[in-house]
Amino acid sequence: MALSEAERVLRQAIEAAEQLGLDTQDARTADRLIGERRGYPNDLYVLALAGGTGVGKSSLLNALAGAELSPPGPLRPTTRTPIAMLPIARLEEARALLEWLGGAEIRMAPGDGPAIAIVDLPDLDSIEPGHAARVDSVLPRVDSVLWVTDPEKYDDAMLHDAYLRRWMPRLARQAIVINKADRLAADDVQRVAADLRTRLALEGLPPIAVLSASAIRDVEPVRTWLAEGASAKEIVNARLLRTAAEATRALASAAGVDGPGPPAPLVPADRRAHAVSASQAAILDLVDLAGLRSQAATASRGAARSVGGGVLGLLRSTLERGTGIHASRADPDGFLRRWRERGSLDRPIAPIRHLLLEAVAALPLPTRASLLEDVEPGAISDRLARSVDGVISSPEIAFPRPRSRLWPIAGAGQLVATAALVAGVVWLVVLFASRGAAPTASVELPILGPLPMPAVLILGGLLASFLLARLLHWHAGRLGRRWATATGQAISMEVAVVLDGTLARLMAGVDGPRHALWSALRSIEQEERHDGAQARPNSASQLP
Amino acid sequence: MERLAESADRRWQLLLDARQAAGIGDDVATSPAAPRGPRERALELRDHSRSFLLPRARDLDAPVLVAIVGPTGSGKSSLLNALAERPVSRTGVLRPTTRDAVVIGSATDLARSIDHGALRAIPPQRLQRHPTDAFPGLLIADTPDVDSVEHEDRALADRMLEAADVCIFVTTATRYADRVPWDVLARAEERRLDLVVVINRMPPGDDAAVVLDDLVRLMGEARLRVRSFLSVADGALADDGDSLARSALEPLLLRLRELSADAAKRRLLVADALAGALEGVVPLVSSVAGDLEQEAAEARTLLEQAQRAYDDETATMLDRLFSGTLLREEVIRHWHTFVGADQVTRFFAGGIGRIRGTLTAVLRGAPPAPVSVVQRGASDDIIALVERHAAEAARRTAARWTVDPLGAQLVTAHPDLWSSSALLDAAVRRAVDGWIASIASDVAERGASRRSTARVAAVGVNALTVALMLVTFTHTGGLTGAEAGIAAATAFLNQKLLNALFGEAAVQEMIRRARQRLTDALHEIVADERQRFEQVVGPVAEVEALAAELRRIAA
Repeated sequence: MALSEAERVLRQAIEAAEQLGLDTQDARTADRLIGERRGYPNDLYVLALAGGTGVGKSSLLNALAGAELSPPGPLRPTTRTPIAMLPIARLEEARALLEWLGGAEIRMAPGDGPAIAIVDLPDLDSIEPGHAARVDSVLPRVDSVLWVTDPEKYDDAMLHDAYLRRWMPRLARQAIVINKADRLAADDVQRVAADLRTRLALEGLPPIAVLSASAIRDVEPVRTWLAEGASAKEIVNARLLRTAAEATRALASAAGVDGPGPPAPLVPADRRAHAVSASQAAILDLVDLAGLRSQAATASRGAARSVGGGVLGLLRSTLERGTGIHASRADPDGFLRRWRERGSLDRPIAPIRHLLLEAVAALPLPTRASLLEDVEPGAISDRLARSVDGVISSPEIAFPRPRSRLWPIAGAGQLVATAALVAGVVWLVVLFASRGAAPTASVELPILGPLPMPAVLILGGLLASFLLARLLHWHAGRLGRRWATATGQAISMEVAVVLDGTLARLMAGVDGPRHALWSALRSIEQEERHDGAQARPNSASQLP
Repeated sequence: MERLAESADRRWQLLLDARQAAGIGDDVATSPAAPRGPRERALELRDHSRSFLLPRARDLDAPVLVAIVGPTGSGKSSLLNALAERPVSRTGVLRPTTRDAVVIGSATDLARSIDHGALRAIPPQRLQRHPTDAFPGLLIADTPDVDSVEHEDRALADRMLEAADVCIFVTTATRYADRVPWDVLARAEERRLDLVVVINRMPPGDDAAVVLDDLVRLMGEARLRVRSFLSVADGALADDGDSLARSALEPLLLRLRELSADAAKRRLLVADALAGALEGVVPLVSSVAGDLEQEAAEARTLLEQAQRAYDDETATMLDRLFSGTLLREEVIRHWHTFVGADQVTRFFAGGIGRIRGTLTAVLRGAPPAPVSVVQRGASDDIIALVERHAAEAARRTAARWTVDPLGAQLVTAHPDLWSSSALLDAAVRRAVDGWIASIASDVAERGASRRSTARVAAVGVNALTVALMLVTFTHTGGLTGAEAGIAAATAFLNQKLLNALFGEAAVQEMIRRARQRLTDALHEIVADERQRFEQVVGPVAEVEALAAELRRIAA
């Protein structure tokens, strides 16, 4: 059967709980106890008689044994070592099991049951504190419990608050017996039993067999209950399965994921998208896309000028490079790389931290620690900065050396314009010089329209140079800006993606184990239902 | 003494209210045998002062209250029925049988006690009155079980016990060593109550004597002073089955009749009970004071942790505020374009720059100052800064508190304590707006009182306000303006402009005041944030004062 499966699920639950920072001490103990119990024979089971002082546990055991194993007395609380009745045929095996159960302090007496060891526990409600402590130490290891009470004590706070409420969910095979039924009229016994059932239901406890007995007169209902139950194997199995299930349930409930549906993601998708876009906008403010555009345009113009700017352009390019102006104003890659220096990360991290802190506050207390460190501003700034750095330093983002076929043509034009300018100037200079040296007849100047030729050359050269420079400026700027716009879009998209990824990774550290715990509980509960359907005892012995 | 009761009562109520307001519920003990906590002890003191000390001290002749207490099913109701000689209290097999306090007594005694005596503090709907003339001068009350699963019943029984002058403790031969009722006895002893023990359902024969001896021994070991033991045999019931046989109760009846008949004896008993109670109240007052002191100390520790986290974060925040790296470049760049324009630089440039600036100003006019963009940007950055540190202080405090039991309760009940408050954003924005307005009025005032009025008007008060604000954050302290970085360059230009218009000393003074004002405003905001933690902890000083007063009274 699926006990090994249950053990596996419990271990998974423990692992998940540990990732969440939950205390797994109890679950580990349960896991250990299951393992240890499986080392003992499972065709033999231990039934414990538990109850308050004076309800007649010993008398009940004596009646079941048909012999006085334990002498009853008037004094309270009865002080003696626990006593156990073991199947005579398997004394040795039972002895080993009982030693595991409670050490050597249990006095053992042979009984005639085939597969059952009955232990009479000390009382659980007297002024002797050692007694209750002893009960508490044995209960986790017994396979089955018969809660013994009487008409006086069935409503005691001690029984209900400290024991039934705590232990009933953790046990599989169990019943409550109202002892001393001979003190009441028959219909009163039934009224008391009904009252007790109502009380247990009010406390939210599962239905349980309620028997009546009289240790001095009639223990037949108890005998019947013992006989009609499932086989020892099934009882031991069911108990261990229940132990695993309860341990898993405790973990799931500590994590707040013991509801019927799967735990909702800690942060709803729309809130997450909202935080990502707010943070993205703040990061883009730091990256400064407008600044990037101007850098790219300047860089592109510089590149154009060295090719298509003629002599002067070349000169200016060289100067700008030499003085460092280029580096500070025309270096888009460097500008991007320096994004973190352009302001603090407080604004980008604020929406994400807010979201995380809200999530932390919504978690059950013990699991908060799992997220707390991630919300530390330094840590989250680093995380964010690293992922944005990853985007920005990717090779696709790098500024390409801009070039254009137009630029050399513009450069040639510039050279022609410069040549015209120079020719015009030289022409004029030669003219003036020769006039002074040879005062002969006036020289005929070629006329173009109303202007003399040298003037045309000079003015035309200047105009052409200016126009070509403007054209180049405009064209190169356009190229640079176009690149910057495309790059800006790419960055902005990528930043959103990495932010969302970062957030998803942070959340997965909590959402993952939470979901794992929930599904562990679900599968173990399914197992239990399956098992319970098989081993549900019929209730001939119970009170109606 | 009266003062003690009243002050304890009033202050305790106040503390309870504060606790309730802080969202801390009653911690119901999981095990009925769990030791009494501070809350139980304080409630005990309150009930004791309200329903016993005060009314008893006022009126020694008020009827004597006899409370019958004991575990479930021990026969308390049967005993009362026997005393009343008629079925007044329900008996039966179902537990718990008695949910209310059932009181018998003469009509006048009942009225007297309920109006302004011992029973005044008992909720009327939980008090059943049965007038009878059996014992004038006495009120005899059956109480709910002390150990049933109904916690409210236990609370009512405790209150009745606190109000009583005489306690009849009923138990049975099988029950007498149960732990929970034993705790009730301990309280009766603390109160020095006149105690009568009835052991019901005694087994026949010699066993009865054995049980009685054992019980006497146990009570002796526990140092309980019992006036008398009364053993009732199992099945000693009257014919109706609802009450114990009166023949079995003879000694008790005798004592009650004696008290009823003799006012002087009653007075003596009452005086004894009061004296005993006063003696017994001292340890209770001290222990409550101790509880309060411990609570206050815990609360102080929590508050100190909050204070430390907030102080640390505030210091870091203020460091960063004026470190020159607060504002992002994107915002500064807008300003740089404006303040670096020739039309503005002409106010402090010399030579050709001035001429060029003047010409440009004449030709193109002054460029528009990006006032709102920069102000909004700066506000956003300040908000983000404060937000970061306030949220971090909250997170650190909450994380610290999680380790402490009381702190863990508080941060669970108030999930908003894990981050900055929702109002922080708006508060900082308001403060920054106010701060900018104060800079503007500074600028306007200086501008008006100087001969540079015309030039101030030319640049604009708003633009100068922004310049001054920026300088507050990034003050280069006399650098040359050639350093790399647009922030430093802008700061240089801003300073030049302001110095030219107002004079260096005045600018320094304005910066100093602006910084001071912003620091003060942010301090206030952070203090408000921390206040949230103080609020949930409650009035610690009040608790300390109460503890001190209780100590004084107990001394």
